[in-house]
Amino acid sequence: MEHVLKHSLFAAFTVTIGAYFYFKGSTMPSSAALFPQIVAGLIFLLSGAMVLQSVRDVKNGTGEPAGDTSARQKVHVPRVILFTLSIAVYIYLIPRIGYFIATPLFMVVSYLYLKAAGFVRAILISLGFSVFIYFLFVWFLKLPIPMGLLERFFEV
Amino acid sequence: MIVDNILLGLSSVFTGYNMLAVAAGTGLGLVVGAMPGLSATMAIALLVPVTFVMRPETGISMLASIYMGAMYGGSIAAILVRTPGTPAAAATILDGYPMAQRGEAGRALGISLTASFVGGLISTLFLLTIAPVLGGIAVMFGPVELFAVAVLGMTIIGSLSQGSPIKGLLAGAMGLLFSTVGMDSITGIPRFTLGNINLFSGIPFTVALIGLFSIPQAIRLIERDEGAVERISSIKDRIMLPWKEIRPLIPTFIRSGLIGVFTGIIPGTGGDTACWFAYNEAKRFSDDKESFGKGSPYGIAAPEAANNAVVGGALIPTISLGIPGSSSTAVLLGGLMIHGIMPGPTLMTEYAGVTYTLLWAILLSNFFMLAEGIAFTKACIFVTRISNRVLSVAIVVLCVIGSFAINNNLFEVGLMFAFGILGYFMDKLKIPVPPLVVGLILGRMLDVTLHQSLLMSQGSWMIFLKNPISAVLLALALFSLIQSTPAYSHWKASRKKAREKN
Repeated sequence: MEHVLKHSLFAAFTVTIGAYFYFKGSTMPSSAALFPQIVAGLIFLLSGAMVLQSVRDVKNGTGEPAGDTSARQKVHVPRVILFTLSIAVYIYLIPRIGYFIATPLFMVVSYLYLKAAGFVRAILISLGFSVFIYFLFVWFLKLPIPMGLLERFFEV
Repeated sequence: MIVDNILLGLSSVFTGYNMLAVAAGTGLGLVVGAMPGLSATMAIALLVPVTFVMRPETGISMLASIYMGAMYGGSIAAILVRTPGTPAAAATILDGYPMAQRGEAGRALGISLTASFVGGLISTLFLLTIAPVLGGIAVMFGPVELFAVAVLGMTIIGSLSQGSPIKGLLAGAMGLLFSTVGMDSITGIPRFTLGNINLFSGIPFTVALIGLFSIPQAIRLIERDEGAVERISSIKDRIMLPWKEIRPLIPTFIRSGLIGVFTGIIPGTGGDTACWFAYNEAKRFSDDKESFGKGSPYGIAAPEAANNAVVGGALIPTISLGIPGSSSTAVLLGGLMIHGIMPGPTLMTEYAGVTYTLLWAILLSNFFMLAEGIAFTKACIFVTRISNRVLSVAIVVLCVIGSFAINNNLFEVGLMFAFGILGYFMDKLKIPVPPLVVGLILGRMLDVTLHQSLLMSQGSWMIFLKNPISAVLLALALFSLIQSTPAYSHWKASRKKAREKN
């Protein structure tokens, strides 16, 4: 039933989005609402069909069998969650402490957490990568990257 | 006119700057392809912001060269590490790795490189001949025909995507819905922006595709433990093959190249489909079927010729109709869009300089691929050793800076991340991402042409059936939809059973 539950949750998400577009569209002039409302209708239909298909998959034994944890055991769910959260924190920190502090920090912490490299190697990779990004995006592409705490060092 | 444009493209591609971009793109594609876990689509998506400062023809030529280079690069990991560098190299493992195990890694890579080169050449010939003709026809299309073309593209992409057609169509519909966010081009009112000024110009396509293709990939690379990997640690023999070894492979190169071109033309299918198709056909045609799976040179030549031939094939509908033939060409269209070039038949007329340069760049990248392949394949052995976790973190950093670079806007970095999370869940539920991307591209065209058509007919939907081209295209779309339903599969299976009984 987990297979059906996962698909039902995703269908609930798509139906919610479709409903927002459909009802918001009804407050607009008909010419602006026509296309999104047709597509929202399609989403309702297809979301329902997807759930029905997942039920049929389970009945036919072609879905993910209940109780089969072999695939899940291989995926480290806590690692995925923590890594995803760390990306969110990294993005949050960029405008606050600056890109060139947040980036090496994120890289070093991630490498250490993921056991991808030792402390010294993690620092070297992250510094090397940050220098590469500086030359490509700031020096070559002239991108105004948020410098945050380093602002005064990079002021011309 | 077409000849003039072809000559214009030829003169443009041979400028120093463009040749350098093609050479760099091909080399980069080769390296990216050789890294297991990095796909051509993701590499192109991440590189799109870098091409922002280049001239459109230079930028797009570089991106297309990455695609071409990555198709060969994928075989390096397949042959040396028994892991496909790109999904399109999956079938190469079957014979590439056993041949490398016999101490013939150089020979296996040489066959792959030659096959990729011939496959790429075949597809470029088709691209240079079919695309201008098809583009010439498509340019006569009005809004009614364009609407039908886009509907056909969406239904084919949705129903032919890997996995369930229902999921493919749902993903496509989501893309269409997201494409309606922003200022309505007919009435000029903002739609579905949640009052956020950053969304007034719509969801930036490149930002969405960086998130959809790269963040799920970064997460996938760390979600499982990396086990000990069997690998070939050195290449002792020569990569350049003698003519007597190439000659018997030529029919396989040509047959697989043609398979790749035609698979590429069909929207929604790409190198990952073509490689298996070509492999199976090579086995079917072979007198020595037993040797397949044990290091047969034909088993390497077939998938590699096919996956490189997909590049040109997939670009045919992309350039002539504005309908991407694969996820990588969808991203290429995104590269054009950031230069203000809208996909559609005008690519062959209004933007002929850019488009025809691209066509020649594909041809040129084949030659660079051959030269760079001979020179650098042995060096790529080091690239295959980079740990997935090291790559994963670097991908995230590139996603963040890449999505910021489009409009220098941190809101878009958050948007990219949100699309990344969506892409990850879609991947877990086996909902294909490419239809969503194509929906995002074609949504605006569908919306505008629907409005224009209904205005022309004073609100009558019959206009789509009265127009013969549109009626045929919509009938094809309906057929493709019917074909993807369980009822059709059931009917086909019962017919097959009845035939077997008889």
